[in-house]
Amino acid sequence: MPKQIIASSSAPTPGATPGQAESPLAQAVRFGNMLFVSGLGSVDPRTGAVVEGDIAAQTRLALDNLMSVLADAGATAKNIVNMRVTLRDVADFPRFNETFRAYLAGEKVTRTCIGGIPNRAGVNVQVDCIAMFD
Amino acid sequence: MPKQIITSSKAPTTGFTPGQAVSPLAQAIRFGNMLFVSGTGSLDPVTGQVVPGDIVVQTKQTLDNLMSVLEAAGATAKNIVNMRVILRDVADFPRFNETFREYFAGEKVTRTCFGGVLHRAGTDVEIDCVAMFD
Repeated sequence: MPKQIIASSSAPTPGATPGQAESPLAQAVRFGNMLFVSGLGSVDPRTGAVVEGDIAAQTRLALDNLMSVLADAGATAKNIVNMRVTLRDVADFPRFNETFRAYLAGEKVTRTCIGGIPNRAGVNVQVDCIAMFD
Repeated sequence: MPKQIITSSKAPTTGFTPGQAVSPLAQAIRFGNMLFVSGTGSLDPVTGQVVPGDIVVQTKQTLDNLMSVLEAAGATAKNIVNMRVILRDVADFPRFNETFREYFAGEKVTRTCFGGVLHRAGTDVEIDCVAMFD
């Protein structure tokens, strides 16, 4: 059973540094009934440029990007079992969390959130996830 | 089905603090078709001492250690589905990423990378992974 590489044109490519060799990074990899999604942030899916904005706007775009990858893998929020969130500034947590709650309304997931430094300047929130299929 | 503890003499022991009680940490645990590998860094596999060097040297040593653990579990880079990277200084990201790309040329994985504080002084990058088997 090989890894199945998921590539979504409606989500940004992770780890993109212009001019470097072909990236070994996939937006997502499916193996059997499991799907692993790379960390994504507030980046324009088409241009790859950072979309600056307050934490609510950045959280929505990061989650939109994540959901686009899930959609191309044939998954929805119902398939997400685990999420990991990195916030550049944990003072943003209340507004991040409020946005997150509204976004995933009606769904249940597990989540771990920490303060850390996203490597991409201007990105204030990064989200990845693990999803599972029936 | 019990946890299967993976031990490699070619990779450093994780969480090793001299004089303490026996460590509850495994280099890796296999459960069913899944393998979880502990975070490892730029440590000498034999002495457990930090292998100093720039981010390129440290990234290579860290990945060598990770691959040794995978090898002991009967896995290769082809089995890796997800990786987590912590950089002490995100200014190191471009050179870390270039090294990572060369190391995994031709393979595809998912990855989440962020800046954080590594507990071991002198290590500037820490990497863990999840791998899966047929």
